[in-house]
Amino acid sequence: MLTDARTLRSGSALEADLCIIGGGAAGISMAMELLNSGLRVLLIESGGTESDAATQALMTGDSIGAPVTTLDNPVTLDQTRLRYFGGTTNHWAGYCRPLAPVDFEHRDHLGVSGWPINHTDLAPYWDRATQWVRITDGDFSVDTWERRLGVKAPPVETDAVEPFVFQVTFPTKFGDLYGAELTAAANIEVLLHANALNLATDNGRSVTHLDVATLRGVSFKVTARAYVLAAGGIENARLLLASVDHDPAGLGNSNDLVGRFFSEHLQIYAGFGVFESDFDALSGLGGGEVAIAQGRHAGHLHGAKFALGLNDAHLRSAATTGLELQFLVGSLPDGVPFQARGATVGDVGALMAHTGSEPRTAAYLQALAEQELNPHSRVTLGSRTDALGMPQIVLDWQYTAADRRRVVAGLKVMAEAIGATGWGRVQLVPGGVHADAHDSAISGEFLTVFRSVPEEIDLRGFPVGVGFHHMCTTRMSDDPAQGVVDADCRMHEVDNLWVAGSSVFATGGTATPTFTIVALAIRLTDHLRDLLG
Amino acid sequence: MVNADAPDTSAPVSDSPTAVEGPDFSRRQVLRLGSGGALALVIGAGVGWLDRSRNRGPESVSPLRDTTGATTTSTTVGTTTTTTEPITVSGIGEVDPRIITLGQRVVEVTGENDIAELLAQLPTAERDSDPLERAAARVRADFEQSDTITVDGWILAASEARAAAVIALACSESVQSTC
Repeated sequence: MLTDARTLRSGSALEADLCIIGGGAAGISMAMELLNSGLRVLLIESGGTESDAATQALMTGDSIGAPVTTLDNPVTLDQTRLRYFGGTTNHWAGYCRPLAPVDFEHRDHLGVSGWPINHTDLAPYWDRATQWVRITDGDFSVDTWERRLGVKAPPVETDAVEPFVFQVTFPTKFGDLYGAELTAAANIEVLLHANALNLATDNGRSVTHLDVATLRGVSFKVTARAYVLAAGGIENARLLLASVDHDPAGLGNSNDLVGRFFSEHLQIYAGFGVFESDFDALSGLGGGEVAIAQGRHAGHLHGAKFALGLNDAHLRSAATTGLELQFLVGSLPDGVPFQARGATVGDVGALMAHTGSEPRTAAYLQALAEQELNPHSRVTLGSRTDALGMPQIVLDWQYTAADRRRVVAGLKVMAEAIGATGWGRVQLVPGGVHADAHDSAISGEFLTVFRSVPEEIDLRGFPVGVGFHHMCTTRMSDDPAQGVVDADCRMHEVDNLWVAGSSVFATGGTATPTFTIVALAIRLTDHLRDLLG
Repeated sequence: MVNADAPDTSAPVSDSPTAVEGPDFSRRQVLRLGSGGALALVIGAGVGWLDRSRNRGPESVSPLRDTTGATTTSTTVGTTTTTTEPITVSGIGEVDPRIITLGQRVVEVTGENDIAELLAQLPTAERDSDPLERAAARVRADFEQSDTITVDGWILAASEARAAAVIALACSESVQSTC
């Protein structure tokens, strides 16, 4: 059933077995898993089926820490998330990859690390998640995808570096894909335009009801046996911090951990390279047509893409954090060399042809790095309020000089591995690569010109972009002093409240988070199905 | 980063004809530059170029392609790659002029401009071994040992960077003749 909350009468009281707050990847996956389960499920979504400015404005907040920017453009906090049915899957690029085993391990060299579950625990849920994110299957082996795509992965496999696979599905907007089934389901009610304002509690140990309001002034309550907070990495923390019936610090926040450890994936224009592989192997996208330029995709895609990453053995032995490298093939307009000054792609390509393999492709390098968890990187509430009277958030995103040093060191390891295997040569100019122009005169569309300016290399201050991956603000831990939720994603301090989404990630890893968000949501659904039976 | 792990230069100098081949190769000039055996990588580069040039026309040298596969752009990049004709460097043979360009940058960046010293750091030749394989093995070993030289951000094996520098310096010295 689909209900527009604006049609409800103020003062209404809705009841359900399970109330899911947030209709994004996690919330919709849970609802789909519970189709015909016999449980009465109420899925609360702030927006409608399309984006609208007034609802989106409820995301507005202040960023007082590191600049929140893509590699090309500054963005505002409300642009990094989407507040309508389907949530952020509405602008999701569709890259899927499971976390690595090392991501779950405690690592002594990091201040805070380790999950209370391991890779094996989550493996069956990644397999099940494939149906909701709509990728081929749970096989992420390089061999399999070389065969399926008919192209070779980067032949770089050393004791520190290895190739891996993203499965890519685009577009995969959960609201569009699953709205009809949820609407038709007898046991599911999707409530649109319904904004959760307060998790009401008498004693801080359980939620008594949820206060909800619409932008048109309708207020009502929802009472459920269990509540799942699935509103996103920032909004999950916001609602907990704003629910102050029992404690001015917020619900489930007696250890002052809600909103802390905010983590992003550091994105860096890392440099250029010349490679032995041809264009198809480097782009590695198959099964559909796709164009990638300026960070945007056009067309439909169902395929896979290869990249390189620091392997688990290296992360353990070198006491470092995760780093991956993608190869995005650049372009060259008439008369403009790949770099205006210094050693060029052509020069190094010629050298490579003499001392090893002959290069066939040039590409620019985009790195994605894990950041060390930092308790000072956090979401708090500001003094300003939104149109519904809820405090807006203040994001103080922080990463450290050590994070930068690890990125640079990891890139060097990658460059040496690429050289050692004879696959190519790499120019590391983190921050010295610019997406200069969108040249429609050459191909008609989607052509980005990249330029390298080695003189701009600043290893202590190179620009870092974000992936819109908001993680760890209600991190999972067995220890209430280290995390907000337990291994079952239940709040340590609140008996009938669970959390879904990347806010429960105990560390960020380097894998894009949506696939794991869905896997964790399925795992949580199984748990709640057993519990509420 | 310059990490000058001392190479093994104690091997006997090779004067075997099989160690140095190529129609424009001048043994006397090479010997003037340094010990013939130590030139393995440099000569490997020259021989490699000649071998490839014999087997293919310039138009078949692989072009660098762009992300969209746009014909115009691909052609442009390919042209940039393929229209560079080899030139003859006295004592070395035919080389791609872009290696000379790169070698000049290596000299500028590292300040290493003494051919004899550079040659002393290059690998020695083994009789009857393939120069290209020898060069590739040395490059691989350099990368594995983090023995690299950074030029404008490019992470290069120390040996290949120094070989390019030798070529550039040899070209500079022989500018009045064939280079």
